[in-house]
Amino acid sequence: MKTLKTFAVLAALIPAAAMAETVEGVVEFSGKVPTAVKLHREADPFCAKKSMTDPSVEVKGGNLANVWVNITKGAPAAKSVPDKTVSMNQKDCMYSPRVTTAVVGEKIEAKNDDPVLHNVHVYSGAATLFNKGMPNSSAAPIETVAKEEGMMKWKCDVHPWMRGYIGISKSGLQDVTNGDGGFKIADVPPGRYTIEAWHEKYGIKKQEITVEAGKPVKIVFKYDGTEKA
Amino acid sequence: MDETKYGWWLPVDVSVHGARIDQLISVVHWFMLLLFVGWGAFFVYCLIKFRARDGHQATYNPVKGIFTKYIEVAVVVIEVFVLFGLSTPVWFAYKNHPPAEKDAVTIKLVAEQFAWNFHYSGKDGKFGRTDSSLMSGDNPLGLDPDSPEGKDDIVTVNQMHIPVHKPVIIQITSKDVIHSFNIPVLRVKQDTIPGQRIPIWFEATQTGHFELACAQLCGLGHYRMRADVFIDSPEDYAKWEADNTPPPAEAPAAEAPPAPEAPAVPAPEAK
Amino acid sequence: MSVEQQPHGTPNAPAIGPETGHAHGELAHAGPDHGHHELPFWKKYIFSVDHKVIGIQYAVTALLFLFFGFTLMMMMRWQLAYPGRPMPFFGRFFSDNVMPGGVMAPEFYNQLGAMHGTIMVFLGVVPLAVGGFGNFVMPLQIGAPDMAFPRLNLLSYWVFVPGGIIMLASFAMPGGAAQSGWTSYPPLSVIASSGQTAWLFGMIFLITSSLLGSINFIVTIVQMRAKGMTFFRLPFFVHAQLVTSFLLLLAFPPLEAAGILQLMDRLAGTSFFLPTGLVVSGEALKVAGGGSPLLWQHLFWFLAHPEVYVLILPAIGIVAEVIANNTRKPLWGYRLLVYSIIFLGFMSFVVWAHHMFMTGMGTTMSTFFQTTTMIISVPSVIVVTCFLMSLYGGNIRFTVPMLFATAFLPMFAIGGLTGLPLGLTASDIYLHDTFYVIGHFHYVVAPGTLFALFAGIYYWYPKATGRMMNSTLGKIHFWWSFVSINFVFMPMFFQGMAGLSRRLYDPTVYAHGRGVQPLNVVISWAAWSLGLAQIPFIINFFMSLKNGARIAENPWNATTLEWMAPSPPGHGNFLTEPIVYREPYEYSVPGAKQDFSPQFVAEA
Repeated sequence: MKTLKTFAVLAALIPAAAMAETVEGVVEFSGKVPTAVKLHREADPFCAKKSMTDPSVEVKGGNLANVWVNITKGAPAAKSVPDKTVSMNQKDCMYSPRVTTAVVGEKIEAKNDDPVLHNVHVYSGAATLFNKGMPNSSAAPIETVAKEEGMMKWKCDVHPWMRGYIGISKSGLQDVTNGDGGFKIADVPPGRYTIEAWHEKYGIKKQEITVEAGKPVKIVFKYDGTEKA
Repeated sequence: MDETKYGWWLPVDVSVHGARIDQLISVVHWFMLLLFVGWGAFFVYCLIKFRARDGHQATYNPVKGIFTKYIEVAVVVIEVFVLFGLSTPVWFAYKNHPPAEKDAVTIKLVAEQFAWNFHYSGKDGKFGRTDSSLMSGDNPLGLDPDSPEGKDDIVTVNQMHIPVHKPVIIQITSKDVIHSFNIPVLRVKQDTIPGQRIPIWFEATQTGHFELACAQLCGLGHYRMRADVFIDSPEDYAKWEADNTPPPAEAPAAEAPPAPEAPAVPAPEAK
Repeated sequence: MSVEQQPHGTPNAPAIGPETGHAHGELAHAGPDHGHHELPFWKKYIFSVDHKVIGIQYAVTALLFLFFGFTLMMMMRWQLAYPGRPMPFFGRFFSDNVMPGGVMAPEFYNQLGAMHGTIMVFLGVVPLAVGGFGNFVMPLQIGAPDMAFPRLNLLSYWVFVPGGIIMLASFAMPGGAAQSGWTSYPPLSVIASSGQTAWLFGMIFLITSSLLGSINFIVTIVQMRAKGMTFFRLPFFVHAQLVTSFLLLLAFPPLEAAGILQLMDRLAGTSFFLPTGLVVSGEALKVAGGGSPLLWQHLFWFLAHPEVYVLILPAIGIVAEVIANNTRKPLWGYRLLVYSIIFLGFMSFVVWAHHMFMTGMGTTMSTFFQTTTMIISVPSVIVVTCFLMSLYGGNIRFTVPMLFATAFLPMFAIGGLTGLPLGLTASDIYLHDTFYVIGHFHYVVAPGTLFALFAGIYYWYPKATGRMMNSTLGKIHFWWSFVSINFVFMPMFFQGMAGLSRRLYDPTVYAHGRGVQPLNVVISWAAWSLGLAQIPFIINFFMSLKNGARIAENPWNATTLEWMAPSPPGHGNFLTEPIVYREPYEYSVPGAKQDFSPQFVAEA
């Protein structure tokens, strides 16, 4: 990040060509918000202690949370891999966070905070990346590295409602919509791009954008609840 | 759970048909013990009597085998008795005589890695339409939300409630791999085969809280693919059914087509 | 120069070619002056066509695999005795991938379980019983200079070795080794990680090796017997090998086909064993479907039940040899034994579905299979009875091989008897897939077959090396193993009776499992004790190569042909052409000078 900023400052001194800009916006949701069904947490005596409903569709003020927005076509590769670890933890029989992001090469760590077995079954597309059991909270964390671009799906085969998602890109030009449905991608160099939104239930939406120096881009994605992933 | 029920031998039997299985196990084991002790005594006698020592010699000519023929004939007779006198009748009586559906509680079961999904028809006695394309983390059976018969269906995961003193039929299948439905105290065991819907039945004779275990290796979570089995009194069962029936939706469903019952995995019936 | 190029005039005339004839000369005056005829090292010991070298190669490789397979189980026993506790000391040698923090991961437990079964059966017992003893002993016992097809024999061993290496290497694959049990039931095995592909490739090698071997055995026994060696003068061990070879020849091809079909399901996207509409981990599996998972089970058990007899029959053969030799009297009911095992072999092809009573089988099918299962118990009872009657009237020498052979009888009886409630459908409802099954078949193959194989090792070691094994160490090995192994397998019957399922990573998840958990601690310590009990054997095995007492041709005063050849026999086996004069077990013949009248001596 630091190098990117230095680069941005340098770029500002020379003619405007390489000036990086911000892409931000919201993901709107029209249509009927489905009632969140109760999860079958009675499956496990430990999970049954806390009743929860399905968190996959979270809408607030007409905006959709937990949408992964990333710049795909035209995006430059990240100059360096962030030196931090993305965590995907299991607590109260849920993956936490639900949706997050990582840059290719970034470390990922999964811990189990529960006293019960979680079967960490991780997919990239339809292919299993790994399938490991963590018998309880004393199980050593699983450490892995983001390798392929795309959506890394985390499932637990013991608790079928458990889902976690890590959006992985080479550029790092990505974000996940917050509780208000907003997202913000900083430091996008000028150019023409495809920007994609992805939601676990409603799938992918695409837009073409052009970023010019000195002109922050504002965009809106729209879902109406009829889409299928 | 009452752990005193489990020791180092057969656990308590709470099923109607189980007594005859236990009887067979017992008879066969007495037979085995008899044979083993008989053989063993002869064996030890020979080892001592005919050990090599000074002045002792082996006899070249074989002893006459009359006695052994009697033993072998006896073994065959007992085996025939155990086979056609005990095992086959028990198996036939159990497997060939399912309870009448109108007298029984029918439950559908879909096993998956690593959970048991139970589907109760609810008050109307009819199962809602299920479709494997609708299956998801929060809809383990793929129950169609628009199916009118499915409105009052009860779906539970790893929680099996059955009434005592009433025949229960469970239609079992699997979504993914082969599991095995095993309730030791009810003396039932049946593999769940994907692509087949296999009916099993039993009748419980006492109430209590027991366990359902998976008996066929099904992956890394096999060891804890367990469900709680509650054998309820009729009142408790009715109460559980009422408590778990989904509340009726505010608006009645628009004319949903009366979809024929389609199992998630259609298959020929197997016995 | 291979023997198969030799014309075989009559089946009874051993073919002694120019090369083997020459070998006799070499043997007679073994010395450096014949160095120019010596084969280079790699041809003599690595890629040898000599049945004895191949037999020893098989035996040593198989012993290594047996110890390895046993080690896998000793690791699993830690997890079973103390679920979730880090393994002391040894845990640190494993990567976090399989034993994070020293605690065994569930998927690794399943790998160990699947590989334990596979290794013990296909890489341990079969290669030792058939590849090892069959190769080394059988041609000597029939008076042949070598196998009928020595190069096929060489090929058979060198197809077996890569099969074993593939199996071992699969532990290093992403996702680890095969973890769907030694039975590899689909769909689990089809959706499993890549270790399963390696397992299937490994199996194809092993099966091919067995097929090559079995053809060779049959032809050798039929074509290469010495003059006078009629069918009913064959030692019982040879009969056992003949029936075993037929089982291998007829039962393995279906599994080879099934293995290839499963490979196609995994690699080529077919669905021979996958039904329509599978949903795995919440996602529809993208396959055509329409296959049957039960088809695999039929094909698998069509092999795997005869395979049980492949494990037992050579063991019974060894026990017969050792008992006859140490009771100093003819085997009781020799012909009855021969007919019994032929019938046993035949029946073993029509009982396979008793492994599948819980798959939803109809009453007609299940009645057929439980009836055949009861029928097959009759020849087994006859075999045990014949051995018991052989003790009666004997003059029993308790040599180390005899100790193991004696122990075989009650152990095999327990294994056989406990098969009864499993073979009956009604009691199988309760006992199927519980620890009772584990106890049952281990009594047959561990204190049963393995003890017989140990008897064979102690019995024929002097023939193979020219030196005796130490008898004190042998007795320590026997008694220590005998006590330990019963503490391993006897408690399993009680666990099974309590309803405990097999293949559970943590049995304490279930209340009925917690009830019998103390037994798991007993079993585990007994298993580790059994492991330690093998140390005297290993020491004995290697020390005796140098320090064992030197022996002549016939240290046990035995009657069969292998004791006519020098110890160890040279290339071509016999110094003079063996001629057979009598039945195989003529001990304590009235009026004879000594208490044994060998087959190969004209006047006794």
